[in-house]
Amino acid sequence: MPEAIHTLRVALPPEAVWDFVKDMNKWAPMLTGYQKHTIVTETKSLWTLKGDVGILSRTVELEVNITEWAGPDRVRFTLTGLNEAVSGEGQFEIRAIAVAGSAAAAAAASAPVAAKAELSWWQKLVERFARWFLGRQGGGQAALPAAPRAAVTAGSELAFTLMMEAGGPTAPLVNAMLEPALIPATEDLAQRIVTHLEKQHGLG
Amino acid sequence: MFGFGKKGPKWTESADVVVLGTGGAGLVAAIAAHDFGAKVVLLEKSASVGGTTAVSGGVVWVPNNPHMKEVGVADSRAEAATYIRTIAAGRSDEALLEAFLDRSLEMLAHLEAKTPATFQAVPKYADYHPEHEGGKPGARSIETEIFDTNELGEWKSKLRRSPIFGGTPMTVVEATTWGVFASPLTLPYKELGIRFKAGKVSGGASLAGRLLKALLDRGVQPRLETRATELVTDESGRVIGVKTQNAAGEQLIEAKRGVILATGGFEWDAELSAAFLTGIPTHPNSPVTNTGDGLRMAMAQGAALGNMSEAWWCPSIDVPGEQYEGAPLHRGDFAVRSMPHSIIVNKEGRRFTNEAHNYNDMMKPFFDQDPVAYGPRNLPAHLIVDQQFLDKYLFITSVPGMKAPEFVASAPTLAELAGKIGVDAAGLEATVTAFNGYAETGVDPDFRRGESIYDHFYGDPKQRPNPNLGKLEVGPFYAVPIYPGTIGTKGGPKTDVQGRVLHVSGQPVAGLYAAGNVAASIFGPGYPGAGGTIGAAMTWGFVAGRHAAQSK
Repeated sequence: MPEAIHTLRVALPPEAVWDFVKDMNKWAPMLTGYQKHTIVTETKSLWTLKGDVGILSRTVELEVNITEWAGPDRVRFTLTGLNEAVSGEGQFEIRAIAVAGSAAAAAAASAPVAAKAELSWWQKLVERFARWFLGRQGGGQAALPAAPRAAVTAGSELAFTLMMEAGGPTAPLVNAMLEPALIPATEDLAQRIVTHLEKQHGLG
Repeated sequence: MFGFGKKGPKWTESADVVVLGTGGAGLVAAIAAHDFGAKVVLLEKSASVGGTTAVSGGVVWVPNNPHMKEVGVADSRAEAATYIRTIAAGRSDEALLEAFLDRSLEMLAHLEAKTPATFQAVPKYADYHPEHEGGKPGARSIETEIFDTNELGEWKSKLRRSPIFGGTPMTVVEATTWGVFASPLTLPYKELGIRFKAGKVSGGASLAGRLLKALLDRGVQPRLETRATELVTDESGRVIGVKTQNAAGEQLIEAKRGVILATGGFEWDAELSAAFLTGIPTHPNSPVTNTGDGLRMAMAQGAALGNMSEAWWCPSIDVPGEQYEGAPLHRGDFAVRSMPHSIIVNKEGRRFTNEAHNYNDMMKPFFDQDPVAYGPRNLPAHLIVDQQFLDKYLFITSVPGMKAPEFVASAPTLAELAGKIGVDAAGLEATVTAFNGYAETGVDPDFRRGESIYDHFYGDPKQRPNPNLGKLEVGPFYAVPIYPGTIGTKGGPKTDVQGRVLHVSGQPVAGLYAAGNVAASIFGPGYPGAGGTIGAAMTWGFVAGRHAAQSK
């Protein structure tokens, strides 16, 4: 199943990030290709997106169902295509971390940690090892380019994961066409949320 | 005249030959001009390379080509000439026809010897009127094999991709061998997915990609998003350069030996279409940048025009919301209308054309006028299929086993479907009753569907007794609008055997050439076979590029 993960850091506590993420009305328009959405129940919503399938751009109707609502840590959901044979799942995961307290450091900290969908399994293994190793050496925040002598405050790591899969006999081809669109869509949404939060809280 | 000072125009840059447009005509013109000694500047109005050629199937029609022998099809110059005369219906210039027969082979030999553009015959792709004298059952149409876009380096992302088969990287030979139309579930989708991920392309993108690679190898880089707005002439009226516009501003580029117009047709320009065409192609299949720029520039020089009422007609089906390069995509329909269990009807519920025949000629009745009602007799038109069709064949965005696309009207009976789409129910029922009888006998006395071997190319060989005729008898029934479209217009400035634009006086406009859909086609209202557009475009591009490079 084509999968994309994008992780960003923001100098805000998880509760502040969760407060934004938990209300899809706030971030829905930030999704690449967003056309409209309708909330049906607390856990069910209908989305209309314009997405790329290979060289073409298609309008896709999706039913989104929340499967886990575990604030302020995580929300998980499934996706079911209503007009196309696609399905998928995704999640927002918020993790508490410590970041440098200055606005400049916070901005720097929002550099992407990794776009895992672009990595091979070997690269992922190396990356995990490096993060684990450097994390031990650096107190858990090895990749953080924090400014020297900056105050350390509560921060968050926001990871957005999206998996989409085509169904039917043509799936291997359609999945190949879907994958290139997933990575930028995932990166863009995570980045837009973080940018919005930083601006909202005067960190940008 | 433009920009003249006492010593003439203040050129921003100087070249021997300036080529406008990067479709098949422009790319080959640039290659030829370079190879025959010219310094070339190649300009492209859009942000990508390939023009109308790149969005096509990339097939090239060259009669009597050397690849025909490889697949056992004999041909001759005389047969080809006879066939083209028939197809052109008396509207082809005899000198141009003769020149095309020879120059097309020279063009092919040059490309295959000196560029990555090499070809294979498509053995079963019949001429579009193969039963007419001189027609052939296949192999005059040739295509390139799969192309690896990684060979283009940083230009990879600048190559326009073909929406044919949704961009699936498979050749026409492969598609027909695998039975893409009749047995779509048998395709090797895993292999095709691997190809796609690896950056492989086919069809028009492969052809344009190979020609682009040839130019990059020669050090000629197209200048994208640079639009030519005006030709520059000297006191004698000779074209000596071009005025261009891009993000950097306005430039004047000198063309010491000539300017070659290869800017495509005018089908996306409402004013020109209304002024010239037989009918309005409301749903063109080509890039939206085909707005007649070259035609206007030629007209400004007093060019004689020819074949202006004609286009390479092709019916279109829309998927709501579907876009290509940021504009609505109008899918040219080649197969859905041709397979069994389908018909096209007008608002009276009557068929009005051979649905399975070549797209250029089967579409002409879309424009029939009712003299008393004073309006189009056959528009709006609808393509009707039954559940058997969905169970067996590709239907727009669905494959067998999937439900019909949500934008398609459906109903359990024909009468109810007719009511939903505003078609006369009794008329539709009567039409289907008659058509189902034809499916039984295998003979369509009304429109001769399935009579030509061309029709069979897009048929189901398992369907007996006729691969194009199958009953519509299993509900639900489905309907989708089918619109008049075109893959490009084919009228424009007349040219001579060297590709030079002719003035209304009959003399060449010095320094000005035209090739491809911007120019008057030698085929008149006809379409000789798959790749007739590109084959002629590349030929005249080659002729014009060579002549311009060698002129003084």
